[in-house]
Parts: sequence; C-alpha cells; structure tokens
Amino acid sequence: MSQAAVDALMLPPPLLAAEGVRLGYATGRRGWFRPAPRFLAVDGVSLTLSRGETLGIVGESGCGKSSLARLLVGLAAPEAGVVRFEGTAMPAPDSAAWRALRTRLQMVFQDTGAALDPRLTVRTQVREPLLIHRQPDPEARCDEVLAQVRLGAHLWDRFPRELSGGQVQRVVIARALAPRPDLLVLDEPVSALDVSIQAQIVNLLHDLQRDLGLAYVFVSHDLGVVRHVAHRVAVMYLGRIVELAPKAELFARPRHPYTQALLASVPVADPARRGARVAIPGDPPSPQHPPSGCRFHPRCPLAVPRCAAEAPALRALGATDVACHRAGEPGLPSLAAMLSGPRPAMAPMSVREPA
Amino acid sequence: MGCGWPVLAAPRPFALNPGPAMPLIDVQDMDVTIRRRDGTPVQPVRGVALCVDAGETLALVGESGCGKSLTCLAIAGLLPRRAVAQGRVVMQDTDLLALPRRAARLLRRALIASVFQDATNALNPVRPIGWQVAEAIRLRRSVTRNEAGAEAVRLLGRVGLPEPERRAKEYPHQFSGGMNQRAMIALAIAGRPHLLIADEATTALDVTIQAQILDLIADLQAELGMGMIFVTHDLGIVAQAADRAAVMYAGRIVETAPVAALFATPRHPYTRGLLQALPRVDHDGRPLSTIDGIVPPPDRMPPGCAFAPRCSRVGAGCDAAVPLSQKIPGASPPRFLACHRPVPVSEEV
Repeated sequence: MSQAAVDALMLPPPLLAAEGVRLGYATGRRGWFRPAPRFLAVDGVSLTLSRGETLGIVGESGCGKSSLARLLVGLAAPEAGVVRFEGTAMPAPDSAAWRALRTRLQMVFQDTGAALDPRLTVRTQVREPLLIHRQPDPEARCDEVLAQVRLGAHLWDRFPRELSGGQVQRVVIARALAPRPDLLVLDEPVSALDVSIQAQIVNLLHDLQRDLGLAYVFVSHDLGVVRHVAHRVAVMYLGRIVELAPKAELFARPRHPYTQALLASVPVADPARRGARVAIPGDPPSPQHPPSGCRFHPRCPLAVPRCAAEAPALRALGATDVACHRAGEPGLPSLAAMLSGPRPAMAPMSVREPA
Repeated sequence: MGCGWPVLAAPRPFALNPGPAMPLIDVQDMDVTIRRRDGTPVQPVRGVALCVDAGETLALVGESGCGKSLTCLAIAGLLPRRAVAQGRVVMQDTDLLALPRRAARLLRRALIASVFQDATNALNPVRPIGWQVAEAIRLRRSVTRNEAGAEAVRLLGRVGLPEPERRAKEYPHQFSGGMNQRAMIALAIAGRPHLLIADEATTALDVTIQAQILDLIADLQAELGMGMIFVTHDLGIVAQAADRAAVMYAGRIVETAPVAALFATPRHPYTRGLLQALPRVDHDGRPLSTIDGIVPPPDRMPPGCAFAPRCSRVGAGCDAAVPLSQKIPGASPPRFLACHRPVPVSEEV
C-alpha cells in the first residue's frame, strides 16, 4: 500500500506532516547590484509522523537534515509546501498562534554547550519555558522533569559549566520536556557525546518515549544510533529524501544506491566482517550547483542516461518509498558487488564546481 | 598497489636497522605532566607502554580526555610548552626523550609524520596546497624548488586529488574537507615516514568520505611499509582498520590485544562496557548497556584503579593499588591487561 493510501485511511490525521516543503538560503553576493544567488537546502520533502513514533533522518553534512528539522518545528517558514501539525497548517514563526503551538513541539539542538545560558542555574533554565507559557505550578513541574531525566538532585542548583556533557544534555532534554510537548525534534542529540554517555542518553530517550508517548524526529549522521532509536528512517541526499522506509526494511534491504553506499561505508565494530566496507568514489556535490536529474547520478555506479535527465520521484516499492529510476529492476546488481574487488590506485573524484 | 611513483620508490633518508625483532617504536613507562597556570602539576598520561612494528597498525582507543592525543603528541614531540614527557620513546635504538631538543627534532622529522582531525585548519591558509607539500619535501631532502614542486604534484595525484597540477595552485579554503585531508596525507608521506600517527584523522568527515580516506591510508601503508598509530574513539574503525588495539582510560592503557581477540573476549570491564554501549549498524540490539558515572578528572584520580568507581566488577583491592599492566599468561599473540578483577574469558560480550 502506498504512503498516500495509508494516510487516507488513518484517522485522526498524523501528528505531523510535511507536504512538499522547500527551504532556500541566499549565498554570498556576486556584486552590489546583482541579486544574491540562492540554493535550496530542502527541496520538496514530504513525510508524516504519528504519535509515539520515531522518525530518523540521516544523511551527510549539507544534505539539509538540520534545515528540515527547523521547518518541522516551525522555526523557519517553508518557501513552498506546508507543514501540518495535527492537520492544521503551521502558523508563521513568531505569530501568537505559533507561540501557543510551541508548547506542543520542542527542539533539542546539536551544540549542547551553546544551548544553555551559562549564567543561569539548571533549575532556572528548566523553569523558564514554563513561565513564558504561563503554565501552572512551574516549581513542581520543574522538579518533576529534572527527576524524569534522572539528573541527580544535587546538580539542580548548579551552573552549566559545572556539569559534564551528558548531564548538560539531560538538562536540555528536561527543558524541552517541561511544557509537556507531543513532539521532540532532536538534531544530532548524541553526536558530541562519548560512547558510554551516548548510551545513557539513548536509553533515556527510549524510556521517555515509552512513558510519555512522545514522538521524535531524530536527526543524525550516525546510522548505528538511528538503527537503535528509530521506527522509520528517511535518508536525505542534497535536500531530497531518496529513501523512506521502516527501519527493519531499510537496514535489511536498502533500495536506493545511496542508502546502500552509506550502509556499506560505515565501519562495523566486528573484526570478523573486515573488508565488508566499500567506498563510493567522489565528494557530495555542492548544493549550490546540484547535478541535473537524480542528484546522486554522478557518483552512482548504476546510473543510466535517464538518471541525468529526469529527477526520480518517491515511489512505493514494498514497504519502502524510494526515489530511484532503477530500484526494483529484476537482476540489478548490488552496489557493494559492483564496487568491491581491487581498488583503483587513484579513486576518481568529482571536482566541485568553481564558485 | 605497485604504481611506481618515483617519490615513493626513492630511498628513505634513514634505513631501518634490521635488528632482531626490534619494534619500530617502543614506548616505555611514559608520563606526560602539565604544569597548570597556578603551578600545580597534573598528569593526564601515566605509565603508558606500547610498541608498533613496521607495517603494523595499532589503534589507540578511548573516550575524550583519556590522554590518547597527548600520548601521540608526546611521541611526535609536539607537546605544548607547559607539558613535559618522561619515560622512554625508543626508535632506531635511540631514546627520543633523552636526546637534545634539536637532534630529537631532526630524528623525528625523518621518522615520524602526523595527520590530525581538522585538516582545513591544520593547513596554512595563505599558501597554496602544492607549496605546502613542496615545503615538506624540501625540509627533508636537498632538491631544487622546481623538483620539489613537481614531486608535490605527483604526491597530490597519488593521494587521489583530481587534476593535481591545477589543484596544487589552489588554497585550503577552495578544497572540501575530504580533499584537505588528502592533502594533509600527501604532506605527511612526503618525508616517507616510518611511523604515521593519525589522530582522529577521519572523525570530521562524512562516512562515504571516511571510507575513501581509510582505504587511501591502508594502500599507502602497504606501499610504504609504515607502522601506524591510529587514534580514534570509533570502535568500528578499530575493528576494520587496526591489527592491535590499546584501550586507554583516564591516562592509562588498560588493555592491549589483537583486534579480533579484543572484540571477542574483552578482559577489562571498561573494554567490555564500551563494546556493550555501542549501538551497532549491523544488527538491532537489546537496550544499550551503560557505564554509569563519569571519568574522574586528572587532578582527582581515585587512589587505586581509576575505573573502580564506575566498574561493575569492583571488589576488594581495586581501590588499594593501581593495577599494573601485565601480560596475560598463555595468550598468543600476547595480550596485556591492567585489572585486579578481569572479566572471565567465558563471559559473553
């Protein structure tokens, strides 16, 4: 069944839905009187998220995953398309309606060091959103969420500089949880943490979801973490979703050559599987000069002329939605099989367009 | 991968002594002491012992602040002024730490090269890439500027930079992160080092680029027969790229073992904890097990084993004396372990 058919059957509407959203940025000016060139960081992305579900968004740097996260919480307004929260379109940023909605969606950013005010104690920071949104009994709620994120009570009146990275991340999560949101958008929440601390935060997020029925959008470049937390995974490449699938399906049968390449590039922590890793040649192209057609075609060993001419749309293939002309062709060789074997002495690399 | 680059085929300035079973580098009981601004010393690296053979890759693993980078800086002679290394770092039958500063620098220049995490900032922003590689060549051999420039272009081609003649004239800001890391590697191998230290060399790169750089380093290592110390926090890279691994915790090496043995039967509780806390990309796991608590800061080390306050197997004696690194009896190839109450071999990871 296609995603659209599933959506039509689902009542009430999904918690969050994006329909063909786009977001662009201006780059440096070329001259005083020439308009600054723009590029699209997010180019026509559609997805849905149900209550209590975790959607993982993976991709390499510059693929637009953080911009998409900003769109999903309404921190940026899409240039085209619409983001719907419980069926209603997201109000413009900074409007009164948006502020009212802000208690329902919260965001956790990547840079935990910069996320907290260095001059406020933990308790003051966690209480702040409750005061802003005029919620009843902020003191009690503040203590409640700090206990929920399992931060030791002796740390509640400390300043951020006195906390370790993992403790700071707990405070940031507590602050996001304080106004009782339905949805947390987490942008690389564990990337800066060491493995042992990362595991603590991942387990905490899992328990919070189970206890509070939260929905997560989990943005990460770490496929291991995403495999651990997500129910469904969207793979982005240069501003577009190239594959969207249930987690088990994506990791067992990746359909898009880019997803296959990504999975094959990750060094697996198992010495017995040495040599299973394969590298695809080339750099990701600059989003300012995206290739024609399928944006992956210059690096794709399976590319045919059609790939350069025509951009593939997301289409259903089993439980997977994939944007690839060739995915699902009978007898299509796997990317790993095509790339393994002796490496060329010099891997050909695509050259960035001159600025 | 015999591609016959004249640069790489030329003889090395130092021939290796073909001594009987001499490791390429032998670090014995090395400490690094840093004098703080208020004059109090702290020791972020204590009693480190490791050795690397020619052609071998040793991974140095650990979490941030465990001293793995300081260990490498001490070996490479790049410690900041406030830090002092004591102990022995033996290469070519010579203790680098005992040599006068200038002699040590010249010997290190001939033997050791380093690649760091942030290549874009490690390169000189106001010089062309090719000039920087040529400088590395001219420092080590008496060649003319033109010869060095031509060799720089060949080296840049060897590390997979497209159109090396044109790109050699460009500056680091015109390159992507992956291309800058290739240029750094060209710079490092320009002196045909015997030992390459890669300190989180692929950490800042995307996975598809990381895979390319790991392949490149492996090819060059095979070609040049370099020994390598690969510093990383990524256990996936350890499993894929290293021959042996040394696990560091709070300034000490707690376990050293061949990679396959380390992953199959970790004997130190910290190693086992790390492996169990790792979310895996190759299978869905049970809930991740965690190591509770945090690493003690170097000025407040517990008296005994530094891991004891977080250890699941802690018992009598763990807080009394620092466990010494000892050879595990019967392990072949040899393994070393510093633990009073090691994990039994039979326990599953």
